[in-house]
Amino acid sequence: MASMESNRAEAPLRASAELRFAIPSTPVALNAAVNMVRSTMEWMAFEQDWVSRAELCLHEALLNAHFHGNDADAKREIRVGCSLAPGKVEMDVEDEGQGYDPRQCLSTLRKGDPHGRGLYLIRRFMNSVAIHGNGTRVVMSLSKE
Amino acid sequence: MDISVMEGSDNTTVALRGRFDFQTHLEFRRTVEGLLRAGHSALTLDLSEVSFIDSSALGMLLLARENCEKAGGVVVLNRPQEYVDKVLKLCHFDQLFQVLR
Repeated sequence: MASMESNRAEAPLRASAELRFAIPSTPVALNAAVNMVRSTMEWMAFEQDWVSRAELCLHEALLNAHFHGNDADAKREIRVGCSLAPGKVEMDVEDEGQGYDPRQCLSTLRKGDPHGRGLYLIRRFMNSVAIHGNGTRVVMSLSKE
Repeated sequence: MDISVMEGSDNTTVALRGRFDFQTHLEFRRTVEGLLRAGHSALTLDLSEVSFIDSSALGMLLLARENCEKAGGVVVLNRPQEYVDKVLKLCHFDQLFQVLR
């Protein structure tokens, strides 16, 4: 019995998981999406640092999609994809907005400015970040290599 | 998020508990505005029970700092948890606020 417990603690419960869903553009749905991804990562026994990074970055990407992409319009949707595997996390978030010019986005901080930290945090906490579709889709990943 | 206030003569402690994010905006702003109206501009924000912080909350902290400083006070961040502290450092908040660890 002791060895079963020990094996369970050491090995992930599943080798990989794919989550793909669309949510209405609302704060409640946004939180539920983040909770689902976090719970799945915890269930798969990802290290806490990765769970925290993924949680914050997905949250920030969804905030951008909801407020800036979809103009907080509950009739619009946000599409979310997560590919989770040992040593690799990839998440993509796509809104139904008009997009924006990614070159206008801050990659550095204006110290006292209360805005402009969402994408900055994503870029700092993820290993790679790509913006597609004229700014309507962000793809971000963490990897061990 | 739960917010509780302990008023003191020199310094007022605002204890935050739970997720400090975009949904906390109104509650946090009203709390700080109420304290400023009552003459409390030296605030210590107890972050020891904050489990998550997002970019909106960082913006709220900056606005609170600006408003307290305008009133002659200061905002001190007290005992952030490890991950919250990491976010604060990444955004250089340790250069903008006194952070007690």
